Amino acid sequence: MRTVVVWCSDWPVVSLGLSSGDPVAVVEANVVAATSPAARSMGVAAGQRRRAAEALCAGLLTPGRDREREARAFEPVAAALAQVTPLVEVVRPGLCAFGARGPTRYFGGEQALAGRVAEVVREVLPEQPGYVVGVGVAEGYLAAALAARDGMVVPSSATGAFLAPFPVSVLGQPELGSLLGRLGVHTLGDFARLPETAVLSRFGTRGAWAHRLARGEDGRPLAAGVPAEPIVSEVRFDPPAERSDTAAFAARSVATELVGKLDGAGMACTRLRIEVETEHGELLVRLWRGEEQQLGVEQMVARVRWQLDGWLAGSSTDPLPTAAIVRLSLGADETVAAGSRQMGLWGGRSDRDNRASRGADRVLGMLGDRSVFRGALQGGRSPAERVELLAWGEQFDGEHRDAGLPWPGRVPPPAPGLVHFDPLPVEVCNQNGILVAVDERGQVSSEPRQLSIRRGEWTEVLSWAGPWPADERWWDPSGRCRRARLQLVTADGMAHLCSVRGGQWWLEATYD
Amino acid sequence: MDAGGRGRPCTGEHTFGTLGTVGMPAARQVCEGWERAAAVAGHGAVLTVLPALRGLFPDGGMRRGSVVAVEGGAGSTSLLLALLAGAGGDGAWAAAVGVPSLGLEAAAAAGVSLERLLVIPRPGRVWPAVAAAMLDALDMVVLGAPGECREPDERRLAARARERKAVLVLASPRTSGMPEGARGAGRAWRSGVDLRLGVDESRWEGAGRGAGRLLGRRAAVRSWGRGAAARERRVDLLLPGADGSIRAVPSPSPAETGVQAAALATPAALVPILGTEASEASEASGTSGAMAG
Repeated sequence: MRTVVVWCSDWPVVSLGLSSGDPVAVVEANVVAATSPAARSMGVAAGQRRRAAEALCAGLLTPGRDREREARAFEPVAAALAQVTPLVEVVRPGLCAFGARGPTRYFGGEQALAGRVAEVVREVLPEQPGYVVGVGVAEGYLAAALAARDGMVVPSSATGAFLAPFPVSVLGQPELGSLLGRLGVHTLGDFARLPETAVLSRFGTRGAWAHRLARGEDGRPLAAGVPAEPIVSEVRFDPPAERSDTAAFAARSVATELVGKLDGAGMACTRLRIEVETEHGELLVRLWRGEEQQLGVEQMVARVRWQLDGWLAGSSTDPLPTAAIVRLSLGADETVAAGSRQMGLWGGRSDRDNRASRGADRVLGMLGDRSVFRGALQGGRSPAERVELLAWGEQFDGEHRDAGLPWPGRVPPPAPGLVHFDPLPVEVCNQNGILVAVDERGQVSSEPRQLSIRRGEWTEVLSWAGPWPADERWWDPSGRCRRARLQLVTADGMAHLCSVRGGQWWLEATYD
Repeated sequence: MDAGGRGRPCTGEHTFGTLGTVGMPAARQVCEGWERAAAVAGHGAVLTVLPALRGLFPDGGMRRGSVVAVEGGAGSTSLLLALLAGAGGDGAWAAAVGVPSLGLEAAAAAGVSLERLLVIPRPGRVWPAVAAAMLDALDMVVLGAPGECREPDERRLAARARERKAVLVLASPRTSGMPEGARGAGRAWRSGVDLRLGVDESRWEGAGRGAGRLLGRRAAVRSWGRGAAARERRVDLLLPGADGSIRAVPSPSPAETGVQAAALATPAALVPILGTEASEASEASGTSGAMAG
């Protein structure tokens, strides 16, 4: 199917609206995600760590990546393309695609179509030196996306030859790509020359589909198509949702329901249709295509947020909504057999993982964001610092303290079973009831003999160990914190980890 | 996720065409049916437990669909971590609902794989719905003692666990962060619990009078319950050992027993605070010369 792809280069940078002469590198999780031409000329490239990039280019601006802003900024472009075709599919901010057949007939030829598309985009996106808007027309999405980089129109017969020199990484399947690399197959041309039956038996249906793409044949995945009965999940808001984040919050349960229905039919969604309707009947419909050919709950929720934000930010053709939202509907516009993405028939592991992740999504729908977590070990001194809780559904962002480094002042293993993230006030006293203190040299003033937690009953301390003094951030006069920790074994068979700071004792953990 | 696929007995009458005709969803249902049938037959009917704890379970593992309660007392949290570690052995997923203080570093040391443990620290008032959702999706759910547990909720959750072939583990009040002696979930579930585990004796070793450091706990763990578990069982465990792992108490070698007898003979001396043993402790924290000076 002839496809037109519109590609805006360096969209994360363009969406910032800075002058094109500035060296800019958009950073995500300390790694450069996109660069401006000025930064590229100094040697900054995507994939470098932020420090390396800053070292290469003095005066480099490094804003953090904001996908919502990128989506908002791309909304006028997607809306402007509605003049050319009603069925624009947004793959991600900066990249969109649509079928070429109807518009080609209307504009009289693919070259003319490409020219008109470029004009339309230029109306909303002012020309900036160094930034490119590429329009590519070719057979299938992959070839068209690659053609867009050079602004080419590739005739169907020449698709195979056009694709041959590209590396296998453009297929967007890293596992397959690395495996092919190890087998010595580096370009799409090499891959296309392998016999089809061998590829099917070795790599399965997913590999066979990639093989078809590499040969330049029909770009649609196997058994794709519009389902006979549209699979739609919708929610009506009563009272109408005034705020976009109310609607976005509800989107999670709708998306989970939709994915559940798709799973029941053995399907996965490759193109999502999001409809938002207001009280006054205003309707915004947008098609979103999944990047790696499938859309999960997280991606669907993100796209609902982008669409709402984009609409509310306003754009040239779609007027601002004048009333609250009454209906949100998610439809699987195009689906593919789920077998093409599952790992295996007897894949007990992948099935369990999917079930678990859907269960987590359900709980998130009940309790809201940041209610389900998984733990990850990291470095630190106190038991509370040594674990990080990563919220399910959020991308891990930011610095990670290495657990392998030595942390002077940390108490050696075994780790305590109960960690009081809000330490409890305790009193640790000697047999005369006087509080035990630890001086700067790490000496205790007297032996701890009794312990009272939160002004409760006194329990006898049978044995104890420590102290482990820790002088944290000694170089920072405001952040300096001198602490000492003790392990105390009490008569009830328990052991506790207590720390003292400035004369005040706290119960940090219990070895239950 | 179709609810019909799970729990439906497999008749074995499905025929395979080519995948194109039968389709992946139908084939997947067949395989799930076979898994369920196998689970009933005996393979996969239990969730694995750590080797050291096998002696506590009449089936050699936690029977799927049962309710297990960990009684209060010293060591209940470590016992819970041992159950979690065992279940994760063959790739099972677990959730900890309503246990905000669970020590995840200790969990990892005991053998729990943290990426397959969902932690929901504060489920709030809808905790029964959250627990039910987790029983649907996962193999093992640890439920912290809620402030208030009504009998209909108990019965429904026990029934859900049985139907979904998941294991529901009720944590002790102390693990759940409630004051000791509070009515825990274990006590509230009067009739619904199949197996109870409790620590009878517990002794931490390694700490002296300012000397050494905690090196492990010796515990005697007992299990009792109803049905096949009516007979009491006992094992002795290191709960946990010095590295955080939970294992059976190693039987001492003859040479060791000789040394232990000799050590018991000398009276424990009152060691000075900054004596040799204490500097051993501070050496572990890497602050030897620089801090003391």
